[in-house]
Amino acid sequence: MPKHDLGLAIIVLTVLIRLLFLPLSIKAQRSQRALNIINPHIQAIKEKHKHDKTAQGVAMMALYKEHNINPIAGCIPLLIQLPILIALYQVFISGLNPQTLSILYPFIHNPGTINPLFLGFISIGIKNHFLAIVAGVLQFLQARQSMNYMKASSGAANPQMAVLNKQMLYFFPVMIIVIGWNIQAGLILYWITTTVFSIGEQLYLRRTQ
Amino acid sequence: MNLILSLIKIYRTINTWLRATQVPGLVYTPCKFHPTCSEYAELAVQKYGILRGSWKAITRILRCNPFTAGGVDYI
Repeated sequence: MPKHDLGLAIIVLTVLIRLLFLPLSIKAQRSQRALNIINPHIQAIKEKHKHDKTAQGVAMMALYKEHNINPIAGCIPLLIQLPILIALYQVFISGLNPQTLSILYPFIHNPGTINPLFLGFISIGIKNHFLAIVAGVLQFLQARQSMNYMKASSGAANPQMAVLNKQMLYFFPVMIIVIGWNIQAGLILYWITTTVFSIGEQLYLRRTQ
Repeated sequence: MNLILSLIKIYRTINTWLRATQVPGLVYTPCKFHPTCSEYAELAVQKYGILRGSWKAITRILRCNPFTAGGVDYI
């Protein structure tokens, strides 16, 4: 990294990991959206064949076939992602200094100096309330964008679901700010990067749908 | 029994929120089975009790892998 900039290193690593999962992520979101769109039909079938599980199954099968729904992969991707995520958080939480890093990667030559100043003025190792708020706002924008994409043309959603949607739209951004308030700026920088990446991914999904 | 059922409910609410807003960090792959594993688990626990029901739910989750076809699968 230029000038051993730790902040840039975090951004580059985050983008690399997201790029790795990009094909899966795109596929998963398209597939989820397709499922959401036929959800009213699923509810109708459930209601219609309330007491006849066999008939319900047959109708569901026909619906899946008609709309060519073929969900991918299952839950295995989660098992691959979790270790990566946990490792990432561990590194951030245990603190980034030359000592811990040489334990982490004994095979990599110690870079010697790590510059904890991102772009020369944001210190990665301490709390940064401004970044926490930026992360929260970005999280809100990303959530709203994603929700619009996911529920697109689902027709008449029931009012209970609408209330739930409003709640969850604000829940995670507030949570991000509350958590972000008390952690190192490095972790927030990771979160901002991954959120911006998500927003870009969504823009791509919309364009190519 | 009620404890297990409410834990499943809590899981489902969080899951719905995460999926709808696509909180970054994970890729949310959609269910390949119908009903979903959480619905399946509810039905299984109600029908077979905590021990056998939970076991059936666990095997259902294990069946959610790239080597199965997925699709409609009631308890």
